[in-house]
Amino acid sequence: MQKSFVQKIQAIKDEFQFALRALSHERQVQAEKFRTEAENIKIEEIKQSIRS
Amino acid sequence: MSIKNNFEQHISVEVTEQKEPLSEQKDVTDEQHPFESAQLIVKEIEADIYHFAHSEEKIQSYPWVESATGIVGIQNKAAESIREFNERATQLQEQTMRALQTAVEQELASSEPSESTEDRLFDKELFLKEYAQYKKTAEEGGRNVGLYRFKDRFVKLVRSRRSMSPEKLTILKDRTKDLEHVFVPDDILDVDPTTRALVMPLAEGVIGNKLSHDEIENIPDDHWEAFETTIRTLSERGIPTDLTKRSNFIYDKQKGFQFIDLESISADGAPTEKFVEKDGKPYYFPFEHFRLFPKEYKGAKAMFTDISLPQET
Repeated sequence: MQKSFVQKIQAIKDEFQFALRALSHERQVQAEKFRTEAENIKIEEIKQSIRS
Repeated sequence: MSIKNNFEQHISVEVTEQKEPLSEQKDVTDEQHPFESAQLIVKEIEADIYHFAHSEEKIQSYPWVESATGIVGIQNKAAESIREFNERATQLQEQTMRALQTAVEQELASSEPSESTEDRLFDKELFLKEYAQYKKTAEEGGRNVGLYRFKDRFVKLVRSRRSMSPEKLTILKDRTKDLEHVFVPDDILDVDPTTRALVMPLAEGVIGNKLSHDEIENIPDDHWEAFETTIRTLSERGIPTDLTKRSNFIYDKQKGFQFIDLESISADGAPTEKFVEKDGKPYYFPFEHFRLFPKEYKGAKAMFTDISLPQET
């Protein structure tokens, strides 16, 4: 059955929101990666300052 | 305070997506003008993008641990990553806007009305009675409504919930009285709750959506110039022109373009600002009543030929 105009634009919006959620998730994973890297560097620095 | 907590306090990145509508969202329905429905969807999209960008800002402005050797490298990588995500979100938004615009244009093009010629003078009572017989056919055609060419009047049926008061109609007539190619309704009849009939003086010529490619190519420059001058004059006088349907114009080889579907005016006479400039480039809104989907201005002829025709199936 052919989609009505309203169904068509709702589908466009749903597709957009799905893609934006995927993008948000991907960005969150990236941000977590950077956070972990920064944490590790800082821990290493503190360890070194304690040792010296 | 433990080291871990200290890190969480300073380095944790806020990326929680809490989607909340910025304002009360009206539902999209079949009864709305396609532009109105699209406008509601665009608002939702903009709210989503706003939330996305807002949380991006939080990441970007977060005070990463200062003065730690090596952190700068991560900061740079994070900043680059944010730019990349912003760009991808912008691309997604633009792609979605293009898809919406295409859907709206196709919807409007597919709802161009059919025309019928009535071999008699217009009679209001008889027309309303006869319309009841056609009502079922009109409903089956979705937004499709008709054009009736009588011997003395031109009647256009439009689906619209907007109504124009007799006072506004008088103002519209007054503001256009010196424009010979503009046909303002003598009367607007409420045919049913969502359909109205615009009764206008008879405009001779071919309805815009029936003009062939060759006919369009043979339209002289002075007719195109007059077409654009009328649009600009109407805009300056606070009257929007609807460049989303070719059937809003009738073309006559002698008279040029005649405007037959004017049904709204700005209350205070302020210009509609149909034509705008952005980054040094001229643009126009196809139907400035809804300030959506501006198109780059490429001349009078392009404003007409850019109005979509129904897709062949």
